[in-house]
Order: sequence, then C-alpha cells, then structure tokens
Amino acid sequence: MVKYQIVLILVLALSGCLEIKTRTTVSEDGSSERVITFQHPKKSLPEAAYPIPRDSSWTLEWVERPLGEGQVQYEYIARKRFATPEDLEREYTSIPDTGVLSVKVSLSKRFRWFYTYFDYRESYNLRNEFQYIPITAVLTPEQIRHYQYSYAGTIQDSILDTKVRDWHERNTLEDFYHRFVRAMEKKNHPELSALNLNRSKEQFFALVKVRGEERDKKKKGEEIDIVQFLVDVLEEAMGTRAVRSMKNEIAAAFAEEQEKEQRLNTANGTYENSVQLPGMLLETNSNKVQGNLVAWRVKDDQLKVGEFVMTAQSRVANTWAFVATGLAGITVVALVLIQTFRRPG
Amino acid sequence: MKQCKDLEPLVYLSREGELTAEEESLVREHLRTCPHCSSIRASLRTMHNELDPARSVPPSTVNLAEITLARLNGRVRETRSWFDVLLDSARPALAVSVSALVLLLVVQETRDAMKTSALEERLEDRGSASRTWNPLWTVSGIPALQSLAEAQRQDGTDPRPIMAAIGDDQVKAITSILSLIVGSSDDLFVRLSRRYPNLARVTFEDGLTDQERRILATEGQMLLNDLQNMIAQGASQPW
Repeated sequence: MVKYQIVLILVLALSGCLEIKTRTTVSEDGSSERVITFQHPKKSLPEAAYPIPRDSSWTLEWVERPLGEGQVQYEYIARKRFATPEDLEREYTSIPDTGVLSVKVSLSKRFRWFYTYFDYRESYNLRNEFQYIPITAVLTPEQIRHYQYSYAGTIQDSILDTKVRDWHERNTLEDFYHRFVRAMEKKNHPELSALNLNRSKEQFFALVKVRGEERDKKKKGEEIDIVQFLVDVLEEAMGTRAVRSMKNEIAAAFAEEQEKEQRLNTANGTYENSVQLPGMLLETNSNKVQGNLVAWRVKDDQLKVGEFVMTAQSRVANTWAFVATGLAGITVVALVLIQTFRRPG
Repeated sequence: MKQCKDLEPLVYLSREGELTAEEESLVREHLRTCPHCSSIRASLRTMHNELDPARSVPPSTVNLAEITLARLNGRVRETRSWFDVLLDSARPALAVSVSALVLLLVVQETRDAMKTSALEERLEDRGSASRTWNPLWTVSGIPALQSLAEAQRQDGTDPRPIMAAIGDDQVKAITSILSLIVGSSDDLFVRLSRRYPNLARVTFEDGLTDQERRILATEGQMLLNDLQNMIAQGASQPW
C-alpha cells in the first residue's frame, strides 16, 4: 500500500473503473450482431477511452438494476446488426479515434469449397504516453506475453501486477522530472545545472517516496499541496534553494502531468470481449473457450504494456459441396463402367 | 490342266501388273476358257477392293444387299463414335476434378485437425502451466518485509497481526503479502515455491475448488505463519 502512495500523490482525479462487456455473434452468412454493455451508477454516459456507441445506428437502452436498500445501478446496452463482415469492420474504422484507446475489428469469410472459414481479429491499443522506460526493461518478452494473455490471478500474476504498477509509477515520475529539467534549462539558472539535475534524479525519486509516506502518516485525510511538496523534495534532493524560484514551472509541469494521467485513466477498468463464431472453432489465442464461444478478459494495466490482440478462427462445413463432390465421383465411376460395357468384344 | 497349272502363277501376278505384254495376252486367252483360273482372278479382285476402298468396284458390280448392310454399319459406327467422344472427354475431366477435390478435402482436414489439436493441447497445458511456479518471478522479500515490520514498529503497532489488518479473506491476505515482498535481488519467492509447491496451483479467478481450499488451509496457513515469524523476528529465513 505504501508503494502506491506516489501515484496517489501525483494523480488526483481518478476516473471510475468501468467493466465493459462486448459480445459479437457471427452467423453463417457472415452477418453479425454486436452488443456492448456496462454498468454505471448514473443514467449518463461516462467519459471512457473505449468507443461507446452513441449514435442512432445503434439500438441504445438503459436498464435499471436494483441493488437493494433503495439503490439502483443502470445498465447501458448498445446493440447493432451488421449485414456483412465488411460492415462490422467499417463501423470501427469510422469511429473517431478517442486518442487513448483504439479498437479495431476485422472479420473475414473465406469460401474454400468443402468449408467456409471465418477469421476474427480484434485489437485494443492503449496510447500510453508514459514511455520513458520501456516495459522490456522491467519484464521479459515471455513475462509480457504471460501477463497479457495468460493472466489467471495467481500469486505470481499479482507479482507481475506489482512490477507493472511500479514501472508506471517510475515512468510518471520520469515524465515529470524531464518536464522539470526542460523548464530549468530554459531558465538557465547558475545553481541548477544539467549535471546537478542528473545527479539528483535518483535521490529525488527516492525522496518522493519517503517524504510522501511521512507526510501521509502525519496529515491523514488532509489535503496536500502537491506543488509545494514537490518543491520541498526537489530542494532537498538538489541541495539548493534556487528550486523555490521555480515553483510556477513545477506547477505547470505537474499540471501537464496530471492532464496526461487523467487522459490515461479514462481507460481504467476491465474489458470482457467475447465472440461466437459459426461452426467449429479451429484456433484462438484465448484461454477461455466453450464450444465455439471464445472470451478474453483484459484490464487496463495489461493494455499499458502493449497492444492486446484477440484472434479466433472457425469453419463451417458446406454440405452441398460434399454432396456435389460425391455425385461427381459416382458419375466418373458410372462413365467408366458404361464405356467398358459398350466396348465391342 | 497342264497349261492351267503353268499359267496360274501368272494369274496372281497379272493383278500386280508384273507381266509382260506377251504373258498378259496368254493369261487373258486362258481365262476365257478356264473357269478355275477365272474364279481365282475374281477372288483376287474382291480381296483387293476390300483392302483398298479407294479402288472399290462400282456399285453396279456389287450385291445390293451388301451395299445396304455396309451403309447401316456405317451409320451405327457414326453414332457410337459421337457418344464415345463425349465419354472420352468428360471422363478424364471429371476424374481430375474429383481427385483434386478429394485432395483438397484431405489437406483441409489434416490442417484443421492439427489446428484443433494444437488448441486443445494449449488449453490443457494452460491449465497446468499456470499452476506451476515459474522461476522467472524471483522476488526479493527479506528487505521489503523487514522495512514493513520496521514501519509498523515505528507506528507503534505490533507487526504480527499484519495479516489480520489485511482482512479475513485468507486468499487476499496471501496475495497481498506476496505482492508486498516484491523486490529485485533475492530469491525468496523461489524458496517459497519449493517449500510450498501446491500453493502455486491455486488460482483465484474462477472461484476456489475444494482442493484449492484444502491447499490454502494447509500450505497457505503455513506460509502466513512463516511470514509472520519473519516479520516478528526480523529473520532472513524462517526455516
């Protein structure tokens, strides 16, 4: 709990966590129905990174769900039918990019005589602006793959969770510090040289954590002047009072930082995506499979480490193709027999 | 007859135009009077005509019945060849098409069977893979635990009931504790995994099975006791 103090200090406005469920049902003729649902305490659309349908081409409804003791929760249901696979794909290419989470869907239907193949691909790409330290510096490619696609809530998964949060915290601080350094360079203060700034970087990071914890213990529940807190910590880390003259720049850097974090927080929540393909399921990168129903569950932290791609393939047998081929085979045999019997002698 | 015997070879040769004018005259003279050689000559002509239709005899010299029969045979032959042409061209085309389709079916079935078996294998492996400790996740717990205990001592609280502070839910307690001991330079987690091999089989996502509950009640409780002792004693190893 202490470890997350820094993020709590830097991030004031946390968006509420949404659990967005998407269900796509694909029919044999290539048409599909997509249903998007989520629960919300208010009967109004939240600010979310996920492209929530709002236009009249979707059937939209709010359903009241009583929670007991007079409380209610509202369920938002958006439903739309797509006549062809291309229509579904077009729906998501036409949605304006929210700037934080980009969703892409593709569905293809391939006729191959005996079977018709259905290929489904959906990807969530979170634009994480905090990338000073790449995730590969913290997790191995194998760990990243496991974290994104094989997360099962085990103890070791919780450790990866902690590592990812630590990575994000560190990136947040790095981002703030780089903004501060750029402001210092513009100011060209003799006591705030680039060398001095670089030397005190690690100390600043350590002090933010320690002083943050101390402050939190002393002033529980009190509102913290974060800008003043950062000025104090930077002064201590760099060992010069010259930092005080930079309070406005620090405030500006912090405000920009907060803005970025707020943007990213609109993606907070979990995303449950499922697809029901026609026929027999052949392959998928999901670990949750039930017949021809495939599901993925991903949370915002898993999206922070890279693009999340969901794929599935199924096939439908074309009965008429089997019958036609069988008839053609019988015809060949019949022709051979006819010619044999008609031959003189 | 003696003359007939001498002239018979010349009768054969006369059809081939091999005789001199004098010999030809002799043969012609003999044929007028000899029925035997005349019949040989007639047989030779018939045979020759059959062998070479271009030089066939004029219809007036052929039996009407033979002509009718020959024409009928010709018609029959024309009908059969049209049907045979159809059979000959359709049969290989159909045979190739059917063979290609059968090959396509074999390829599709083989490839799809490989895909489905790989999927099933992966799903089965996933069940077991996620239930085994992965040495990748080596964790430093000792300094984190010690600083945690130190922080609690400074607060004036007893570090031992730390688990109680987290909540009654044993699962959450274990997860939270282990999350807290994440570090970078020690292999506490590896040692814990060796000490409690069954604990890693517990997954929390889809609820707990009876077996998982039993593991938590035994190994989970032992782990909590170890961690409590470590915090209380400041020991680097509880065992």
